[in-house]
Amino acid sequence: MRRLAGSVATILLASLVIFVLIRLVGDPTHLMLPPEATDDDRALLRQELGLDRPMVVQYATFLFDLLRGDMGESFSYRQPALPLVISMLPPSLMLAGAAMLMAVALGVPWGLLAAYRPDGWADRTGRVFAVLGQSGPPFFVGLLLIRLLSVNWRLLPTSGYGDVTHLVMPAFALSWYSAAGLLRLTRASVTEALRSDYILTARIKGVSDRAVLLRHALRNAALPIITFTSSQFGILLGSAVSIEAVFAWPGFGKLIVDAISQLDYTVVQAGVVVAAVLFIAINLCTDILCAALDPRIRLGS
Amino acid sequence: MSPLLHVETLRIAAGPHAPALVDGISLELDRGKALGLVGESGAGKTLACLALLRLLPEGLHIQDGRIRLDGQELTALTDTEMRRLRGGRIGMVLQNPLSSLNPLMRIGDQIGEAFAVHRGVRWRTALWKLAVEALRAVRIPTPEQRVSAYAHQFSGGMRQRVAITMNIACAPDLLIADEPTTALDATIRLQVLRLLGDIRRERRMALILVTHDLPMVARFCDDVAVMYAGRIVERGPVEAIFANPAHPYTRGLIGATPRLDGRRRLATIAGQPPSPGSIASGCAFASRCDVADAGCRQGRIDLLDLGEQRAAACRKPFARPPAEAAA
Amino acid sequence: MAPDGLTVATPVVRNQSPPRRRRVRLPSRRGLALWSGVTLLAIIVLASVLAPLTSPYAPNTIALKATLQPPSMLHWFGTDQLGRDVLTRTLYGGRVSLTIAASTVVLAGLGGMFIGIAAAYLGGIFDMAVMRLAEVQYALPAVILAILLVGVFGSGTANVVLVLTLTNWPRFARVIRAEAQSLSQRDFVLLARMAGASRLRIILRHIAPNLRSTFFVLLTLDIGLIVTLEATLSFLGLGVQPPTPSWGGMIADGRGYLDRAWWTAILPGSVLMLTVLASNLIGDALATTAGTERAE
Repeated sequence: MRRLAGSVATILLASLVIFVLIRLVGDPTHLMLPPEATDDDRALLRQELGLDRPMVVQYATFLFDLLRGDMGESFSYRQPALPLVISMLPPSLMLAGAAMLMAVALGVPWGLLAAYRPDGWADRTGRVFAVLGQSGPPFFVGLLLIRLLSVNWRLLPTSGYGDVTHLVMPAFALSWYSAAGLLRLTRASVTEALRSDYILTARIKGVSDRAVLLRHALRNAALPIITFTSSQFGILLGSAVSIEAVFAWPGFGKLIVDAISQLDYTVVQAGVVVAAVLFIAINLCTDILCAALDPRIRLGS
Repeated sequence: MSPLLHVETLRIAAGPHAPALVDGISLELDRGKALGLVGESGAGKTLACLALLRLLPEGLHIQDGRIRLDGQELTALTDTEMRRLRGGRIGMVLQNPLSSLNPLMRIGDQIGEAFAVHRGVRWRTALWKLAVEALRAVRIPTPEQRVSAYAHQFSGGMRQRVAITMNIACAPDLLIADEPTTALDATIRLQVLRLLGDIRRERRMALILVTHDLPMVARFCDDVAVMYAGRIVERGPVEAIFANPAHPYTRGLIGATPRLDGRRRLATIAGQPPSPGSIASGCAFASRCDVADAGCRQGRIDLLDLGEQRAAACRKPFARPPAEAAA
Repeated sequence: MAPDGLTVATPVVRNQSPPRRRRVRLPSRRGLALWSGVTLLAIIVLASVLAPLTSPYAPNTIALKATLQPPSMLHWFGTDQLGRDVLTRTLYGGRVSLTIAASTVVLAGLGGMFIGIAAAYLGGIFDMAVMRLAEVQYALPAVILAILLVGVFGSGTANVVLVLTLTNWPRFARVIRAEAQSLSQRDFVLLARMAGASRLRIILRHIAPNLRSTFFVLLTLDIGLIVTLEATLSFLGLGVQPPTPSWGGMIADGRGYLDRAWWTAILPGSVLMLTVLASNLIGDALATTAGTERAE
């Protein structure tokens, strides 16, 4: 309950920060009206948009409308901002989700193998991947992929939004960084678990290496892995801005960036509130998942 | 009759040329008997036990020696064969009962795991039924409810009973208990030890009790082996050794044990045990020994048969320092 | 250390033995990572700093007769769509990127450390406000926040430093605050408190000096991150503005020529990646060493 109140405070504070920042960026009426418009025209438009009132009043109105689920109308698209933002979510969530899946599918088994045989081939290659992966900016990895897979080998379409072949490259470029982090974390947590007494006890019972690794070590290492994975979601959503630019992927990031450059206040505000709510929701899911996995959290010790 | 467990010149080190952490120890243990393995921290007791299961920590290896269980050479088994033996014929209880139970698995699943591995039982309901029986055998109240609980919901003594249950579930011939009561409250210790004693008698199971608690050995064991700096310095029947220790180190250990009657002052052994590899030749205990002479610092001092099934690695067995002899 | 590491008796020792094995082998590997990182970074920094002296070309000289030339002895990294030498521009871009990264890391690091210590020291409402603000920063995608701030302050080198500082101090503040709080529970601090030392004295004399190694590890690990963020902003056209060369900007320019002239984007990008790699290698090596120090 206290966590929830904190979450609401975070969302409100985030919206306030954005609310003030976007108003500091500039006056949208300059962009909305033709250059020959007079100051009177602009004042009229400001009045129509409610921008002539003091900022405190504007924010109070915003909050009041927010309670009713109304985030105003987009200045440039002339339609309600919230549905507009939500309509752009699926491609972005698909991209982030696919990237997350790839990161888990790559990082966790690799880290597990590396922990199982320290200095074995998985560990050696893993160490190289871990440091390389965390060194490649996603947008550059994306360009490298385009050059190799699309230009040289002609395997995948360079960009655009369509079937799964369009998804592979941007998702992989996006997952690169998180996969490297997951690999390191999995290796570290499984290694720690493998040194514990309950692992030795399981071995003493005659449990096979595979069962020791999967049933005992990986399960105990799962909590930090899950927490880390969920923390990557925000980073993925942020990196998606540049990835969407590289691959011409029509998503949430591009919408917000465009809205900022067009000073479309309502869309920016709606976007940020949605992003913060998503972030909080994912944290909440993580907590629930951790409780489901760990009886000490669930039942209290 | 050949002994159940026969260990010969077991040597453990990080490599062929690295200093030995366990240096050529030999042991025999008959079916149904209890052996107390005593010594200070760092003497190599736990390593020797882990070697019997071939579960030495990464980087350490059995460099030399033979381990025979019921005539079967363990060092020659494949990994799979050895795995079947663990939990099936040899069990081991660790010191800390909380850390030796998996915090995320239900007790029933952890005990059941042993049956799944060694009896091929598949279904969880069947495994839990077996786990309930096993828990009842160690006198845990309401085992039907306990199987679905987690380790953190048990008290320390109960946890250790659960850990014992897991390891004797498949009726092993040999149970190793590595300081099983050190982490427990004094009041619980005796209960756990009595439980171990009862199980041993009921199942004719051999027991190796690793400890530095000498009264515990005197009360629960038939034989005792004293380890110092990776070697066995004295071994034999408990009564004989406690009545008249042959090795000065054993004498020191017994002297350092508090006695209830408080008649004798608590003696201490001066100095620290040597680190492996730091003793070039001679007796490792020589620098702390009150009867050692120049001869004790040369050559290799092996176990010397003293008769009555006793042996000690000492040039001057039963010797007493002049002051004490005079008194 | 060695004798202690080798005494083996209780199950606890099992936890020590793998590190013991590693203690023999890792220093060389860790040393190798550290020194290859240092060497790599030194080469990049030196080459960037000395670029005006060593490079035969100017970064912005347009040569329309020699556009999109592939790498050759004359132009090691080839030329771009305006015939400018890519290597020269990469090195000049390095001057900008590295200056931005260094200034940001120092500003955000010092600011974050100051705020983190203050939060741990003052506690109460200040602490709550700072941590809430850091939480907000985590909830907002970093790039979007940076874009907004660029909108407020405008683009350009100095503003990029300001924006990156504003978006990156919370990471320092969080870690430093947590570290300072855990230090304040340690025995030596309790002893100092019992001896009657003032809170300020405890902070300055007992806690701050112990934060040093954490601080420097964070600093090195952050260089790579800041370089990446700056490149991302410039790539999106929101950071360093043309014609000033920057790695992100060059990659953005070369994007359209991936099929015909890959070197215009890939080579500056590779230098960017190597820079991040070098600082990660150094940071990781330092983090491992600092971690060991703390554990021992």
